[in-house]
Amino acid sequence: MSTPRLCLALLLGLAALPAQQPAPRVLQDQVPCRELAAGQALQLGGRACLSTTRFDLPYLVWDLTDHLPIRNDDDSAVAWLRAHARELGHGAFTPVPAGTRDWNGDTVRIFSLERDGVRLDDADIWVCFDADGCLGLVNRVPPGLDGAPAPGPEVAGVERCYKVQRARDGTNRVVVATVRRTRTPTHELVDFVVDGTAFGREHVQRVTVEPDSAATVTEYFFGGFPDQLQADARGVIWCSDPSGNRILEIDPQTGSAIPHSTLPWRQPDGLCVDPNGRVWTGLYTSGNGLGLFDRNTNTFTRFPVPPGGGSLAIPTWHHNGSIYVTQHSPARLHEFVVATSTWQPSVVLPGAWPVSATYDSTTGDMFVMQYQSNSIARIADGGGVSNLPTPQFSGPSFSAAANGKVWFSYWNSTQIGELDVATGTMSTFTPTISGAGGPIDVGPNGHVYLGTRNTGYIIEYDPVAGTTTNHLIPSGSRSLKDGLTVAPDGTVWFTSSGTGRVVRMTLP
Amino acid sequence: MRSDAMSIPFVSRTLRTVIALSLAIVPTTSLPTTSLRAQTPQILSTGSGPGARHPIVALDADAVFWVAMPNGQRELFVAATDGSPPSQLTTGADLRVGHGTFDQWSPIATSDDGDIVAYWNSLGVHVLDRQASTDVVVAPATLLAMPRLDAAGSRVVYQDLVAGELEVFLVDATGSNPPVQLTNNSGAGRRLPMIRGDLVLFQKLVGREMELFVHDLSTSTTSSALTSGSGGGNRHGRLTPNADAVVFEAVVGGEQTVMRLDLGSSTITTIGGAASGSRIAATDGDEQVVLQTGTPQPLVELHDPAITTLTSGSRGGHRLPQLDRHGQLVVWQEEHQGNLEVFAVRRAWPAVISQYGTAGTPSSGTLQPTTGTYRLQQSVGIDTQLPSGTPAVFAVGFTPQNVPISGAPGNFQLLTPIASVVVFLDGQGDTAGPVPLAATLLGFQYHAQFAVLDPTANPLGLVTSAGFTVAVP
Repeated sequence: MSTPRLCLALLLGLAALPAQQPAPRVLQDQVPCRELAAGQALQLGGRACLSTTRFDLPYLVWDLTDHLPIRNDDDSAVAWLRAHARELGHGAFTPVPAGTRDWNGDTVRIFSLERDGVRLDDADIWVCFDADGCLGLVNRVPPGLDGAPAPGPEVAGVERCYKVQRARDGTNRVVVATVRRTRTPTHELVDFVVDGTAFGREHVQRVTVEPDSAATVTEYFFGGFPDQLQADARGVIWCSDPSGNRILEIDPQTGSAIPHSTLPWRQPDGLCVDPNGRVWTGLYTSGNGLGLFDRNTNTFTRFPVPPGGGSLAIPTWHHNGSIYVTQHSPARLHEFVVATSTWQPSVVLPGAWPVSATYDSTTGDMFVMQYQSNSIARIADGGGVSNLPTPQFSGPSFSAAANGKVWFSYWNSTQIGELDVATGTMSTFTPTISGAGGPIDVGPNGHVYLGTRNTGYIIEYDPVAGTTTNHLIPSGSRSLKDGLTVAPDGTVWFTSSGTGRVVRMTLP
Repeated sequence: MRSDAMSIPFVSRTLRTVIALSLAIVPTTSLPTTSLRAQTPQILSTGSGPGARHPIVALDADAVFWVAMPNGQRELFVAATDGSPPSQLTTGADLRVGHGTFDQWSPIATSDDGDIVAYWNSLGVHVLDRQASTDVVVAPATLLAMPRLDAAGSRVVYQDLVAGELEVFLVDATGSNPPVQLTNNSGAGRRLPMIRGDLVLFQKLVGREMELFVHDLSTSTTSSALTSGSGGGNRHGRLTPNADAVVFEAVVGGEQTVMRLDLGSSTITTIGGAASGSRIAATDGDEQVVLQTGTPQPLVELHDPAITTLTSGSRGGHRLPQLDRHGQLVVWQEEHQGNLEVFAVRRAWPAVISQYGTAGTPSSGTLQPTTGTYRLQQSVGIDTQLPSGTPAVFAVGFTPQNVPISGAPGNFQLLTPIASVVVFLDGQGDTAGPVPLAATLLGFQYHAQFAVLDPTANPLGLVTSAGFTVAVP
């Protein structure tokens, strides 16, 4: 074949190939970063699909060119999931309908897994539909289901479930646990017991404890993609906008904003304000480095990436005068010494996909939320890195430290994690609002504020009472992602990134 | 309650009225003009750079301290409220202040006379002596020391890590002896210690709530929890100047509310300020409390217990108010020209009271002059051992003199009176006259004297006090 003919044939062949579609939005929203929604080829029953993986299992799954062949009903979804149980890593577990949810106009059918009537505690599967068909699924299951033991005979009066028992060495073991429930006036305490030893406890708030609360909400529209935000000592709110390549300086009284361009450096992602009032941001475009806006000089300065660095994400201040910034992949925590404008050797993190770090001022240690490995890396002030598995397999994402506790959120659940800094033990609090978690902060009253994603609430958790109050978010500003902060006056600010809004919530 | 060593009965409304009337006859043209006006906020700092100022004020001196960033490093500054320019006390110290907007607790402290200042940085806890021009590292704590000085500036308490927990340490301000650890196994969170006299106040967790404790240095004992059910967050407890009470904040109904704990009776009363955000209350010796409150515009309120708003409000951020021993000077931080700057309200200029001449001898005991200060008022008085209800005359005038009184040997008329009033000795044989501290009296000077009717003391039956010269600088 002549060269022109070959070229023509190749062109025609390429044209004949269907366009490779990115993950549908409803699937993208279930991972904290778009890179985690980048699909790889996956054959499911001879059908060309794309998927992302977690624990080497398909996590987000969608069709290469079309909708998946699943009708918008539970029976059809169950049949399809059972047919692909092996590829999806479900082992001998079978899906059971567990309700539906709306996600920005799409319908999500939720399924849990069980085996011989015993439910698996650490899994849910979302099968997502738009008006035209099945968009794909979110296959949130732990590894090791293939090797899970059979539940054995039922024991009268004993509740059991499958649960992942996590060890600090990183090993996970799917076990059949006895579930012990204790009711208090406000909570149900759920203990998971194996061989007579409780290895996990969840504090599940009873629905009727606290009514929803109507906070006063003021919305400010700035367009772009308002991302992370924090107040400076004056109460001025600083907000990153990666799509607009700008940092917004927001007057807390008027809501007016002064944009500060970061160009030619792109995608200011995470943001923190240090005690000196300097605004730091990770420039997410690979190789762009670390950004600093100094309002004293009204200048934006960019520092090149450290050796081996790529996309810098979320910065955190440390009392030693350094700014630490996460890099999602490969998992690194980079240390920038402000005084010398130099980088220290990067910390190789023990987990995967570090999202954000939190500085604990009472120990000087850093705690890094590692979404993909479901663990928290602790970077001791004097050196040394340890890896702390989270009790939930829901992707720890954001955190805040106060009085010896690190409070953290899960990307795929509204549960609130508590890490005791002294003992390293973790607890889980399950509020009355279910759905997806997101940004989190602690107020001066010690209350923890969790932003839910697309669920429509800011959840206020009082660690003393152990109860939560749900503050309704106006319908136009529920597109939370990464940004929530408690200002010095106790007001809660958050970003509704997808709608270009920054929202101020004054609690009643 | 008065804070001076000698208790002076409060003067009657009638007496205050008479004195005020007598002073009101002074032509206003005789009062000097001044650029320093009380009750009007002054801005003590300018161009301080980003971050918080964390202002503090000496209890007994016209000295306000703060941190600022003149050249990219955080340094310590001081100023008086008399219009003189501020002074930079450190160079290259790069003071630490904690964790940005999350740390409202002042990182610096001063002795009551303002001569000694404590701070911390990457080298440890420093004690700076302004008179001796020395700056000594007295302890190695670098993480979150938050040092506090005692009244004399001779002892420092601070917090430092021990086995992963912040504990309270005590060290002498010269650093000549090693620090002594006062607490053990305090658990998570901050201690935020403060020292007055032999009492060291600190907080630690009880269950999930920070509660207040006191360690008594004289007995080396630590109290049980002084508070309970205080809610989340920090207590930010502060002892009163004479260590008889603590003001702190507790969460009530989800809002931080300022409380006062009387250490004698263990009773807790609510001061107020319930709102979201930290209150960071401070108190003087006269039961006045300043706190920050308000949203969306943070305010500084003075509770006595009536509430006076001292700021008009600007943008958000902590105000971190503090006040001197009698609440005559209140300082805070507030935004000005893009930076947080140090604001001060001089609510009153304390009068300088001196004595002249000599007192006569009563029939019983002695006749001693006294002075006192309570909030915005000072007083001059006498202390005798004469019976309750004994009449006396309190006279004021502008012209001093020294004229022996006929029939009363050893007694003198020490002024030319322009007004006088009859008063009566109280049950302790004392009486006092007020010294108003109004802004209109700046630069004003007058004289006062008491004469007590004492029929058996001398043929005239009158005993006079020494004279008082009252000058409002």
